[in-house]
Amino acid sequence: MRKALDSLYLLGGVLGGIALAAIAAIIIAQVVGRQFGLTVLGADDLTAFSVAASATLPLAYAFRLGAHIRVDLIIGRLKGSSRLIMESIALILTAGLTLFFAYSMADLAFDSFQFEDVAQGSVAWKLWVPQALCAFGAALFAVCLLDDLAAHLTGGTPSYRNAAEMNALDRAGQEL
Amino acid sequence: MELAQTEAGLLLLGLLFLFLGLGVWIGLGLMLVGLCGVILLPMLMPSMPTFPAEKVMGTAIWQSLASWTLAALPLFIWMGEILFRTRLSEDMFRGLAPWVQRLPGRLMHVNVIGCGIFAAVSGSSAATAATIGKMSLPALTQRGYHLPMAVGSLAGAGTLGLLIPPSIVMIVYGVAAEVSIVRLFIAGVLPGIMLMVLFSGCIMLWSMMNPSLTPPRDPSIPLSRKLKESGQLIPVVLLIMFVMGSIYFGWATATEAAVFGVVGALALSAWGRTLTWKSFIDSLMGAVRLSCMINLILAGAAFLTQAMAYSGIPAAMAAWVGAQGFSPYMIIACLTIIYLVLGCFIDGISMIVLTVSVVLPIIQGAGFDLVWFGIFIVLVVEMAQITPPVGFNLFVLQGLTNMGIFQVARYTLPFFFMMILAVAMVALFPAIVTWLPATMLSR
Repeated sequence: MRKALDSLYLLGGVLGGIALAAIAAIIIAQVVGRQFGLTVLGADDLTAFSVAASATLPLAYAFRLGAHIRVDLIIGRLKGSSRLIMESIALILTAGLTLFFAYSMADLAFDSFQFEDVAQGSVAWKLWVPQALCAFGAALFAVCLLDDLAAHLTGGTPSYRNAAEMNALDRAGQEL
Repeated sequence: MELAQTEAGLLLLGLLFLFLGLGVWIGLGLMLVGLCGVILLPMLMPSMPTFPAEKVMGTAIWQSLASWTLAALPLFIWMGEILFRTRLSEDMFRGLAPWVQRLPGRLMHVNVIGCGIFAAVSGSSAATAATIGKMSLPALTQRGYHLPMAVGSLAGAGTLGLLIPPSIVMIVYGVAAEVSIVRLFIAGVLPGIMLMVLFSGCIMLWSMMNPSLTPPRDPSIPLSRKLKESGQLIPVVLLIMFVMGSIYFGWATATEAAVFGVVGALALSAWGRTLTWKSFIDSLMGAVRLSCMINLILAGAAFLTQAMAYSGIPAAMAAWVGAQGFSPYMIIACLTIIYLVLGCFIDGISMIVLTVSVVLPIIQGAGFDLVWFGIFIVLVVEMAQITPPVGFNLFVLQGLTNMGIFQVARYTLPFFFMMILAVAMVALFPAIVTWLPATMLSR
């Protein structure tokens, strides 16, 4: 179970990386194509879709590595049970919110599918495909918050805390 | 119960502080307040139309993320991540050191100039301060330079990363405020140079007042060696000139220039033999994490903005400010203070995204230019980065030097005053910001 979830989050991260590289690749194709008088049809919309995919698919992956920021001023100073309670509140609120977020994105994709919405650019891309990818990313995010909520309530350490202990600078130092 | 719009606005603001204070992640906190706005406000204000929350959320977030303009953001972040993993830091110190020996303050100027150059290839001020400081701080302390001044100049100059284009913060502002990113990039050049001159001037003035605290020159080396040492920097300078030139001369949009930057950075990294499959993947995934975090904040803010637009809160607040008859300078002074206070709690990007929907109508109502305001807000956010108790550059310096955060902040104080001076100059002479874009883009 643990392994399956972790590889699912990593899959989101890898897909996000591919989406980011795709943004670069599409624009390079556009620029090079222009030199030879060719236009890459629908490229602007594809770029926009890739941006959306690169923003949503790795949400869970980034969260577990402690990349998302929060205000640490109060929660960082609390100790003991008050800390546990506050962490629980934050996790319950966000887990509920991300479930709704995933539902909204899925609803959007479903609407686009039902009404056969297409992009307005030079190629009429079907909108539900990229929207479904975003919904998948949002769903992963919700699963990941529920996962951490469960870990926290059963007395474990949430993933982002483990990651935060090795803070950004240490990581940078190690990499160099 | 019926609420007026300003009261509803305060209610949402209270909720936002509550959620953020509870430790809810910033992007999600914004989204949560937006959700409260869509669900709660129609109950409290019967005049407000109701919408299904999931439709509003899905559409607002999709529209904010599926954006061609936003593509510049992950790409410029990626470019910085690639260069961060090269030997640029050492090259920068070795290449710049021989040329500043004669200036009062000597090698401390490496901090300012190095940060200025690195800022032009990276959009983040923390990365700028970390990259330059990694090499220059040990070198400066080893030669016996006055530590407070060395630390302070680094923390201060590190903030140039936000102002000298390409800057991540400017892209975020441009996207949030719907202002041309190219225009913002061009407008940032003169204030950036002005700030560098102010910082260097501050170092010179200090060392002329305290001549005993500057160690003697390094033994002088022949010109040919100087040029050879600096030769390492030529590719970086060419990359900057190419990326920025393509934007300034209108050959490329900001997004296309960002792709050139990524390709150039990869080429540079390959040329310096630091490009491996591992460093490539590390830089890509680093960019994924950072841009994902920023995009979540932008998405949350887009939803909150939409929720607020239905309630008419921003317009009501702008009207209220307009009715008070504040002078433009007073508005600017108040905003500066509000941002400095906010900067103690949240980071610069969140600050801009958070406030833009409320502040922009006020700013437009007072007759300010939105490009000018973008540069102003970036300057103020820069200041917030070195304002204790929470400033990102202070954390970086804390990590590099193992000093306390307040000690670092005290050392940075002279440079903080230089920034206040810069904000005042930009407010009094808006042409510093508006002249370059007006002349360059009028052709």
